[in-house]
Amino acid sequence: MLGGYAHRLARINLSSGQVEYFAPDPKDLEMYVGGRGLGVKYVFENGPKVDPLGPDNLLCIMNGPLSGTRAKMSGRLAVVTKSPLTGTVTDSHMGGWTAAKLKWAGFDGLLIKGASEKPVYLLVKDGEVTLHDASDLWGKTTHETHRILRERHGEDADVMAIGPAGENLVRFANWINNDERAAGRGGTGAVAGSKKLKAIVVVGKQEKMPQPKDPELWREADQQASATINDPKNVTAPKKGGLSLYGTNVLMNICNVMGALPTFNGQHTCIEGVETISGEYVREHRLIKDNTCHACPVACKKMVEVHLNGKAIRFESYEYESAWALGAHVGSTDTDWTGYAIYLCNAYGMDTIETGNAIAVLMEATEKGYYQGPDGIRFGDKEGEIRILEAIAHRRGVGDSLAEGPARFAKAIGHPELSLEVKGQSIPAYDPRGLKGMGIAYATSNRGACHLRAYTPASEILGVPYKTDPLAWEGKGKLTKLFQDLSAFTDSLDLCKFSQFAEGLEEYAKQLAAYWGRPVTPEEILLIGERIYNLERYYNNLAGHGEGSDYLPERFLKEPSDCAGSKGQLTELEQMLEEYYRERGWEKGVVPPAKLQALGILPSAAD
Amino acid sequence: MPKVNLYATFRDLTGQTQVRVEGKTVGEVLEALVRAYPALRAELFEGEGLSEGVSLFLEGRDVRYLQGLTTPLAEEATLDLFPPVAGGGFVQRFGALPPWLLERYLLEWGGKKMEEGVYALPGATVRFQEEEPLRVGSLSISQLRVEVEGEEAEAWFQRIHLAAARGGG
Repeated sequence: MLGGYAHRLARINLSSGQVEYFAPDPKDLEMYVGGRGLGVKYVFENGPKVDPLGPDNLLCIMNGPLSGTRAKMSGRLAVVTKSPLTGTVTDSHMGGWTAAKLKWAGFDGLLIKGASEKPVYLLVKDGEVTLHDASDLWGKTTHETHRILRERHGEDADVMAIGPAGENLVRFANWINNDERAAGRGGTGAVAGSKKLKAIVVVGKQEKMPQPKDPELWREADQQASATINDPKNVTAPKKGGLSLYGTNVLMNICNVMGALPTFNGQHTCIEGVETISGEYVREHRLIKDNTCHACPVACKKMVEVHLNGKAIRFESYEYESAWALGAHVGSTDTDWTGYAIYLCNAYGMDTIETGNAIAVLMEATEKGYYQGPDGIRFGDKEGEIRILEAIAHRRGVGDSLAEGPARFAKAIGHPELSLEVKGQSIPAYDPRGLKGMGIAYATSNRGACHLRAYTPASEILGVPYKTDPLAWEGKGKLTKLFQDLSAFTDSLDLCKFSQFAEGLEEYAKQLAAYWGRPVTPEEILLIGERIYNLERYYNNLAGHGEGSDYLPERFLKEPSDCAGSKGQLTELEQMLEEYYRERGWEKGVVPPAKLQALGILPSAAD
Repeated sequence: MPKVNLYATFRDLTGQTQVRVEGKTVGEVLEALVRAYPALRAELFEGEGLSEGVSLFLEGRDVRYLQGLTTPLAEEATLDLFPPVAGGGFVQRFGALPPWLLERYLLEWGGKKMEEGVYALPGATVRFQEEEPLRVGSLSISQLRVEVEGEEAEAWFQRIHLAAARGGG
């Protein structure tokens, strides 16, 4: 039996209130590991044609074989389902302690189906899942829900909750846990809302931490991983490396200088005065504390305090993507207003990236006269931004239409080109005219535009694992495939993406081998990653995302960048797609049966 | 006057690590360089064009993706000129791969330390050296130059590439 697992999952039917338990198939664990991979397998088995907001959709809350262990940066929890925003399979990950505690409570995952008639929350404790009435919590913010449920079940209880946005089926509603970590993208909170599932409370004690099958190898693997994460020359080095000091938002100034920061809804690629929403500025002027997640020495999370109208508001975390979406992308560089918008998104349980994009689309539509309704706002209107954000969460006025997602909104007003989206999900904080790799990564991401499937800026900006020219398209298809496969694997362990800035295939292989109790090679890791990526693509193909689904917003192909660092540049999507499909062995975005057979996803003729 | 930083065997051929030569385009600078160091001609050019294996960067950008030899140069431009990977040798600069970690990999693969920064593997020799870190904004990323030579160089180079694979997010 492979080590690292609780070997127990719960199937929860919210329609009937029934809970069943089962052990995962060992073959599935070897093929898909856990977390994202195993979740995708279960969502695939549930069928690609389900209505994402219907009772038949499956919502998977997953951890991985290294969750809840002492493996560094192993605090990630995967939420996997069919997305109401994109209609693709999606996975979104949150940090904190939820994943660890789920393992300590005796579970590798929770598979949630059906829909309750009245609001409920789940209590996960001592290998059992019970359903509880959540009527008194319905309508409350995520923060209020955390507080009430921790008062009820103890401060050791970990709570992940949806907010009013999830209840109101905002298609980009998310989950927030009591450490204010978000499973942000893809609308997994709306799936919970459609099931009347308000929260999940997890009670688990560290004594239940799984032990490695090969303790001697584990000591070596853990020492090696820790040493490279802590190496003072690596960006992860606690209190020394740039990512530890400034968090994700260290990228703000860099991308602005490179002309790789989409601003004013991507009409420009930089913004004047960006400094005041940058990681460096926030650290100097707003930082309260460097918080962290389970088993993480890096502590990239930043508790900050912003000040508005005489009130002090504390929250985590002033992340790069959030500060960009609710700042630069909507034409604002105000430290406090941007912070307040981030705080509100967390309170209402909405993806900051998608929310910022929705507001940016409304702003451009207003300025161009495409939207002439009463809720129109212009770029840089900070109070207007907050007003629209709240309207989206509560589906009021134009917010009701924006809550369907900026792509649907832009289409509804007859200007789909205003929405910078792929497969219905909006872009994050990197402009593919200044970072060409992001173009192919966005286009081919299985969950819609995303920077976390293949983080090409690692190579294009940071020279990891080797430096590539940010403005050259050559080689980016190959790089994207490598990163996609690597991240599909680490998302299945489930380790933080930041671990990849210090650890590589050797470190991951050794740690998993020590837990599994059998050898693991770097080649096997990439094969597992490739299998997961192809299964996701196959699901999407069956769900209706076929040939032509890997596109980019027209703006990146036709409107040249106007800022230094990338001035005059467009994104060479066609060339990159050709290279990428060749590397993948796909036919215009569709996985051929032979590939599925070779990866063991479909039985081969010999089987 | 533009600066040209020279690397590896180009340093042996010229006896210099950096030279300053006249030129308003990349092509003019290379012509001036060849006039000063004729031994470089065969290395740099194939016919009228830049030799396929040579890597030439202008402020970090491969000139092939700019305007090639006609790329205009500012008075204070800096070019980095790398020799082709040839004679069974393979060279790569890796980010976020500390030297002690590469040494650990090499020992696990049966490598034997010959001297500081030099390991012998079956059929290949690996040389590595820390270079100036890449500094971007408030970030600094270590850079390790790795060179593999010998009959089995390609296979070992790919093994190192795989071990060095990292990403981020």
